[in-house]
Amino acid sequence: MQSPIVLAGCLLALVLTSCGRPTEQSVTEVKNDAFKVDVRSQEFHDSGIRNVDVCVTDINQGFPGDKSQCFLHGFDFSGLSVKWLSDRDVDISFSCGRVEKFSNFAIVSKDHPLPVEFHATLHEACKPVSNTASTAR
Amino acid sequence: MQRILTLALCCSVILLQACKRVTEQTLSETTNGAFKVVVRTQEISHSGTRNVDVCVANASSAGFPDKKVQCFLSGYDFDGLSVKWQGPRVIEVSFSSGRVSRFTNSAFVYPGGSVPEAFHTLLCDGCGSALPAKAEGGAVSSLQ
Repeated sequence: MQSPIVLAGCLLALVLTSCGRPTEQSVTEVKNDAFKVDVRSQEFHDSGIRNVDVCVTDINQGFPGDKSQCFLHGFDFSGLSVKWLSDRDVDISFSCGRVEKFSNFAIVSKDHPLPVEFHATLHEACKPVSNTASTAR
Repeated sequence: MQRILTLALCCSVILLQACKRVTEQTLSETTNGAFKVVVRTQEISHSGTRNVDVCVANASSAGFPDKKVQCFLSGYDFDGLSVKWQGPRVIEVSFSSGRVSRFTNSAFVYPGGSVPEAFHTLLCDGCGSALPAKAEGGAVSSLQ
Protein backbone atom coordinates (compact mmCIF):
# COMPACT_ATOMS: atom_id res chain seq x y z
CA MET A 1 0.00 0.00 0.00
CA GLN A 2 2.83 2.35 0.89
CA SER A 3 4.59 1.95 -2.49
CA PRO A 4 1.67 3.21 -4.65
CA ILE A 5 1.33 6.26 -2.33
CA VAL A 6 5.04 7.04 -2.64
CA LEU A 7 4.84 6.60 -6.42
CA ALA A 8 1.77 8.86 -6.62
CA GLY A 9 3.58 11.43 -4.47
CA CYS A 10 6.62 11.37 -6.75
CA LEU A 11 4.46 11.71 -9.88
CA LEU A 12 2.57 14.62 -8.32
CA ALA A 13 5.86 16.30 -7.40
CA LEU A 14 7.10 15.84 -10.98
CA VAL A 15 3.87 17.25 -12.43
CA LEU A 16 3.96 20.24 -10.06
CA THR A 17 7.63 20.89 -10.83
CA SER A 18 7.01 20.85 -14.58
CA CYS A 19 4.02 23.18 -14.09
CA GLY A 20 6.30 25.69 -12.34
CA ARG A 21 8.52 26.07 -15.41
CA PRO A 22 8.10 29.19 -17.49
CA THR A 23 6.47 28.68 -20.88
CA GLU A 24 8.37 31.68 -22.21
CA GLN A 25 11.48 33.38 -20.94
CA SER A 26 13.81 36.08 -22.16
CA VAL A 27 16.80 37.77 -20.55
CA THR A 28 18.12 41.11 -21.75
CA GLU A 29 21.53 42.30 -20.62
CA VAL A 30 22.49 45.93 -20.15
CA LYS A 31 26.25 45.96 -19.71
CA ASN A 32 28.54 48.46 -18.05
CA ASP A 33 32.23 47.49 -17.64
CA ALA A 34 32.51 44.58 -15.21
CA PHE A 35 28.82 44.51 -14.34
CA LYS A 36 25.50 44.15 -16.12
CA VAL A 37 21.85 44.52 -15.36
CA ASP A 38 19.77 41.49 -16.35
CA VAL A 39 16.13 42.06 -17.22
CA ARG A 40 14.34 38.72 -17.11
CA SER A 41 10.82 38.34 -18.45
CA GLN A 42 8.93 35.12 -17.74
CA GLU A 43 5.50 33.83 -18.62
CA PHE A 44 4.02 30.82 -16.81
CA HIS A 45 1.33 28.46 -18.15
CA ASP A 46 0.73 30.72 -21.18
CA SER A 47 -1.04 33.01 -18.72
CA GLY A 48 -0.36 36.15 -20.70
CA ILE A 49 1.19 37.70 -17.60
CA ARG A 50 4.84 38.68 -17.96
CA ASN A 51 6.76 38.53 -14.71
CA VAL A 52 9.78 40.78 -14.77
CA ASP A 53 12.89 40.74 -12.56
CA VAL A 54 15.67 43.31 -12.79
CA CYS A 55 18.93 42.35 -11.11
CA VAL A 56 22.60 43.33 -11.22
CA THR A 57 25.40 40.83 -11.58
CA ASP A 58 28.95 40.28 -12.79
CA ILE A 59 29.27 40.42 -16.55
CA ASN A 60 30.35 36.76 -16.82
CA GLN A 61 27.52 35.39 -14.65
CA GLY A 62 24.02 34.17 -15.50
CA PHE A 63 20.83 35.51 -13.97
CA PRO A 64 21.51 35.86 -10.23
CA GLY A 65 19.81 33.62 -7.69
CA ASP A 66 20.64 35.93 -4.80
CA LYS A 67 17.70 38.26 -4.14
CA SER A 68 19.96 40.95 -2.68
CA GLN A 69 21.21 41.52 -6.25
CA CYS A 70 17.74 42.44 -7.48
CA PHE A 71 16.14 45.88 -7.72
CA LEU A 72 12.74 45.15 -9.16
CA HIS A 73 10.11 42.47 -9.36
CA GLY A 74 6.80 43.09 -11.07
CA PHE A 75 4.64 42.21 -14.03
CA ASP A 76 3.03 43.46 -17.23
CA PHE A 77 5.40 46.33 -17.86
CA SER A 78 5.26 48.41 -20.98
CA GLY A 79 8.07 50.68 -22.06
CA LEU A 80 10.50 49.14 -19.59
CA SER A 81 13.95 50.64 -20.00
CA VAL A 82 17.17 50.17 -18.03
CA LYS A 83 20.03 52.65 -18.29
CA TRP A 84 23.36 52.99 -16.51
CA LEU A 85 23.73 56.53 -15.17
CA SER A 86 27.23 55.93 -13.77
CA ASP A 87 29.41 53.03 -12.59
CA ARG A 88 27.11 52.30 -9.65
CA ASP A 89 23.85 54.01 -10.61
CA VAL A 90 21.06 52.46 -12.64
CA ASP A 91 17.90 54.08 -13.92
CA ILE A 92 14.80 51.94 -14.41
CA SER A 93 11.86 53.52 -16.17
CA PHE A 94 8.56 52.27 -17.53
CA SER A 95 5.31 53.70 -18.73
CA CYS A 96 2.85 51.26 -17.13
CA GLY A 97 3.12 48.13 -15.03
CA ARG A 98 2.79 46.64 -11.58
CA VAL A 99 5.71 46.96 -9.20
CA GLU A 100 5.50 44.21 -6.61
CA LYS A 101 8.86 44.90 -5.01
CA PHE A 102 11.39 47.60 -5.69
CA SER A 103 14.52 48.28 -3.69
CA ASN A 104 16.74 51.25 -4.52
CA PHE A 105 19.91 49.35 -3.70
CA ALA A 106 21.38 45.99 -4.64
CA ILE A 107 24.59 44.28 -3.58
CA VAL A 108 26.91 42.00 -5.51
CA SER A 109 29.13 40.09 -3.10
CA LYS A 110 29.80 36.72 -4.74
CA ASP A 111 33.45 36.41 -5.89
CA HIS A 112 34.24 39.87 -4.52
CA PRO A 113 36.43 40.47 -1.45
CA LEU A 114 34.20 43.44 -0.59
CA PRO A 115 30.52 43.75 -1.54
CA VAL A 116 29.79 46.16 -4.39
CA GLU A 117 26.70 48.29 -3.91
CA PHE A 118 24.52 49.70 -6.67
CA HIS A 119 21.82 52.35 -6.50
CA ALA A 120 18.70 52.40 -8.65
CA THR A 121 16.10 55.04 -9.35
CA LEU A 122 12.62 54.14 -10.53
CA HIS A 123 10.62 56.30 -12.91
CA GLU A 124 7.05 55.64 -13.87
CA ALA A 125 5.89 57.72 -16.82
CA CYS A 126 2.41 58.12 -18.23
CA LYS A 127 3.22 58.15 -21.92
CA PRO A 128 3.37 54.70 -23.56
CA VAL A 129 6.66 53.70 -25.21
CA SER A 130 7.90 50.47 -26.79
CA ASN A 131 8.74 47.53 -24.48
CA THR A 132 12.54 47.45 -24.68
CA ALA A 133 15.57 47.23 -22.44
CA SER A 134 18.01 49.68 -23.94
CA THR A 135 21.78 49.42 -23.66
CA ALA A 136 23.53 52.48 -22.39
CA ARG A 137 27.18 53.48 -22.79
CA MET B 1 22.68 18.63 29.26
CA GLN B 2 19.97 18.97 26.60
CA ARG B 3 17.61 20.65 29.09
CA ILE B 4 20.23 23.22 30.04
CA LEU B 5 20.83 24.01 26.39
CA THR B 6 17.08 24.37 25.73
CA LEU B 7 16.74 26.63 28.80
CA ALA B 8 19.69 28.76 27.69
CA LEU B 9 18.21 29.05 24.22
CA CYS B 10 14.80 30.10 25.59
CA CYS B 11 16.46 32.70 27.85
CA SER B 12 18.43 34.07 24.88
CA VAL B 13 15.26 34.38 22.80
CA ILE B 14 13.49 36.23 25.64
CA LEU B 15 16.48 38.52 26.13
CA LEU B 16 16.75 39.25 22.41
CA GLN B 17 13.04 40.02 22.24
CA ALA B 18 13.35 42.37 25.22
CA CYS B 19 16.31 44.13 23.59
CA LYS B 20 14.42 44.62 20.33
CA ARG B 21 12.10 47.34 21.55
CA VAL B 22 10.97 50.52 19.88
CA THR B 23 12.81 53.35 21.59
CA GLU B 24 11.28 56.10 19.46
CA GLN B 25 8.20 56.25 17.29
CA THR B 26 6.40 58.98 15.37
CA LEU B 27 3.28 58.81 13.22
CA SER B 28 2.31 61.51 10.75
CA GLU B 29 -0.83 61.57 8.65
CA THR B 30 -1.79 63.19 5.33
CA THR B 31 -5.55 63.11 4.90
CA ASN B 32 -7.38 63.37 1.59
CA GLY B 33 -11.16 62.91 1.79
CA ALA B 34 -12.07 59.53 3.24
CA PHE B 35 -8.49 58.25 3.19
CA LYS B 36 -5.14 59.13 4.67
CA VAL B 37 -1.50 58.22 4.27
CA VAL B 38 0.23 57.29 7.49
CA VAL B 39 4.02 57.60 7.80
CA ARG B 40 5.52 55.73 10.73
CA THR B 41 9.11 56.28 11.84
CA GLN B 42 10.60 53.89 14.35
CA GLU B 43 13.96 53.58 16.00
CA ILE B 44 14.73 50.19 17.52
CA SER B 45 16.97 49.90 20.57
CA HIS B 46 18.59 53.34 20.09
CA SER B 47 20.22 51.97 16.93
CA GLY B 48 20.31 55.36 15.24
CA THR B 49 18.57 53.85 12.22
CA ARG B 50 15.12 55.24 11.47
CA ASN B 51 12.84 52.62 9.95
CA VAL B 52 10.05 54.15 7.91
CA ASP B 53 6.78 52.54 6.80
CA VAL B 54 4.23 54.33 4.61
CA CYS B 55 0.67 53.00 4.35
CA VAL B 56 -2.76 54.16 3.26
CA ALA B 57 -5.80 53.81 5.52
CA ASN B 58 -9.35 54.98 6.14
CA ALA B 59 -9.29 58.54 7.49
CA SER B 60 -11.42 57.45 10.43
CA SER B 61 -9.17 54.57 11.46
CA ALA B 62 -6.93 54.91 14.49
CA GLY B 63 -3.34 53.78 14.78
CA PHE B 64 -1.07 52.29 12.17
CA PRO B 65 -2.59 49.90 9.56
CA ASP B 66 -2.01 46.23 10.30
CA LYS B 67 -2.73 44.86 6.80
CA LYS B 68 0.29 44.52 4.52
CA VAL B 69 -1.71 45.37 1.37
CA GLN B 70 -2.24 48.86 2.76
CA CYS B 71 1.50 49.55 2.89
CA PHE B 72 3.58 50.49 -0.12
CA LEU B 73 6.93 51.67 1.20
CA SER B 74 9.42 50.37 3.74
CA GLY B 75 12.89 51.74 4.17
CA TYR B 76 15.21 53.58 6.47
CA ASP B 77 17.29 56.69 6.99
CA PHE B 78 15.31 58.95 4.71
CA ASP B 79 16.06 62.62 4.26
CA GLY B 80 13.41 65.03 3.03
CA LEU B 81 10.67 62.41 2.94
CA SER B 82 7.47 63.97 1.65
CA VAL B 83 4.02 62.52 0.91
CA LYS B 84 1.68 64.23 -1.53
CA TRP B 85 -1.78 63.32 -2.82
CA GLN B 86 -1.68 63.83 -6.60
CA GLY B 87 -5.30 62.80 -7.01
CA PRO B 88 -8.07 61.01 -5.10
CA ARG B 89 -6.31 57.67 -5.65
CA VAL B 90 -2.76 58.70 -6.53
CA ILE B 91 -0.05 59.20 -3.91
CA GLU B 92 3.49 60.42 -4.49
CA VAL B 93 6.31 59.80 -2.04
CA SER B 94 9.49 61.75 -2.60
CA PHE B 95 12.78 61.95 -0.73
CA SER B 96 16.24 63.35 -1.29
CA SER B 97 18.13 60.32 0.03
CA GLY B 98 17.36 57.09 1.82
CA ARG B 99 17.22 53.34 1.52
CA VAL B 100 14.12 51.74 0.02
CA SER B 101 13.82 48.14 1.19
CA ARG B 102 10.42 47.54 -0.35
CA PHE B 103 8.23 49.65 -2.60
CA THR B 104 5.14 48.60 -4.47
CA ASN B 105 3.22 50.93 -6.81
CA SER B 106 -0.21 49.89 -5.58
CA ALA B 107 -1.96 49.63 -2.22
CA PHE B 108 -5.44 48.58 -1.17
CA VAL B 109 -7.87 49.62 1.53
CA TYR B 110 -11.08 47.80 2.43
CA PRO B 111 -13.28 50.69 3.52
CA GLY B 112 -15.91 48.58 5.23
CA GLY B 113 -16.80 45.74 2.91
CA SER B 114 -15.33 43.19 0.58
CA VAL B 115 -14.70 45.65 -2.27
CA PRO B 116 -11.23 47.16 -2.03
CA GLU B 117 -10.23 50.68 -2.98
CA ALA B 118 -7.03 50.66 -5.03
CA PHE B 119 -4.42 53.39 -4.82
CA HIS B 120 -1.62 54.07 -7.24
CA THR B 121 1.68 55.14 -5.74
CA LEU B 122 4.68 56.87 -7.24
CA LEU B 123 8.21 57.07 -5.94
CA CYS B 124 10.56 59.97 -6.53
CA ASP B 125 14.11 59.30 -5.35
CA GLY B 126 16.26 62.42 -5.16
CA CYS B 127 13.24 64.73 -5.39
CA GLY B 128 12.67 65.77 -1.79
CA SER B 129 14.27 68.67 0.01
CA ALA B 130 16.90 67.66 2.56
CA LEU B 131 14.58 68.19 5.51
CA PRO B 132 13.02 65.80 8.02
CA ALA B 133 9.91 63.81 7.08
CA LYS B 134 7.14 66.04 5.80
CA ALA B 135 3.59 65.44 4.64
CA GLU B 136 1.78 67.58 2.11
CA GLY B 137 -1.52 67.88 0.31
CA GLY B 138 -3.92 67.37 3.19
CA ALA B 139 -4.44 67.64 6.91
CA VAL B 140 -1.31 66.59 8.76
CA SER B 141 -1.13 65.45 12.31
CA SER B 142 1.74 63.98 14.26
CA LEU B 143 1.43 61.52 17.08
CA GLN B 144 4.15 60.38 19.41
